[in-house]
Amino acid sequence: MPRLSLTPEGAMSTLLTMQPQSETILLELARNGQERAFSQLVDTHSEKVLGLALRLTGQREVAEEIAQEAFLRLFKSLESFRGDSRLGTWLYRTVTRLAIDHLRREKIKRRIFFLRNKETEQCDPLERVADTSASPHDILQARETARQIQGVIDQLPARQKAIFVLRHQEELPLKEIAAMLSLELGTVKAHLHRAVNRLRREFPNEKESP
Amino acid sequence: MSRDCAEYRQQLTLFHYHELDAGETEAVETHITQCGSCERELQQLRKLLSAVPQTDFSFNSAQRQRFSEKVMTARRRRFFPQWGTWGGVLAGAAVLIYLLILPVSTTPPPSKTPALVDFEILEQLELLQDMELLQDLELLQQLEEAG
Repeated sequence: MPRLSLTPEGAMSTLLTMQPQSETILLELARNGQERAFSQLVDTHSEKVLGLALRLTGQREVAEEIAQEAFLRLFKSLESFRGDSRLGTWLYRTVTRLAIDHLRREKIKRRIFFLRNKETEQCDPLERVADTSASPHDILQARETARQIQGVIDQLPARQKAIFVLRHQEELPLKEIAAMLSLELGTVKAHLHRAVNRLRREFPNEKESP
Repeated sequence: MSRDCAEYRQQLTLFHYHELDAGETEAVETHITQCGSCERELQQLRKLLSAVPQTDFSFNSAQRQRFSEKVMTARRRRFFPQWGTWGGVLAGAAVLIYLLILPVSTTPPPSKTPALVDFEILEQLELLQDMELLQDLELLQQLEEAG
């Protein structure tokens, strides 16, 4: 990709008012040492990157650490990043890999120290989406179900969990997930299938949430 | 459950996520309209997956700003360490290397160590003893000559 000759501060201020289509230019400015350009890239992608890290790890502090590490790796790779994939995809891939590594390490730690997963640390999203017309009993039941489901998801093998989260919660097509994780499409399908089967086994007669 | 049902049920997850190709999708759709059992299975699956918690992550502009600043600070620390921090470390390392290397590189020309001096004195003493022996021999010869 040819280098752009945009370096003046004037160009920077113009870019800051632009939308993500300016990403290529921001990348080039960041390569040329423009700190604000890199900061703008972080700002643009932080919400999605943090969201994915949080869904994968379930812990806000860990999610922030992983997201930060992903951006630092982006900075380190600025010279080699030539836009073969979209920046968002690159960041998603990096976060997913970092989160898988983290989950595997945590699993080993739990095995070593015989610790159970801290279910109390899991967020309770149903609280936000609960139907206000439902009875308190139904709301409580839905919360409990959600907590249990999240518990099963957290126990999935790291890669299986990542693929489930990416497909179910991030709504990424399996082809994209396969490319992101450098896996065969068939492998990704198998992981998703196993993850859902595990949920089906754990909750054979799941009642409809209120 | 027929063999066909077992095969279709294997595909329900991918069917739910719209990950089957057009032909497979059509085949599953046709089957579940004719098979109450598989249709119920699909409904159960959908109910379960709809109950999976959606971690809605809200991130307001202040939090986004704080996170960006955190990343930029970490970036400076990792890739552009301050000389103020490393200066002391480098200076200390330089002094240590100087102290370790200097005695070796500025070693004075070989000088007489105390051990060497002692050895020379001993040699001289032995010579003196030899001289005394010679003198004694000369005295003996003189006595013999004198008869």
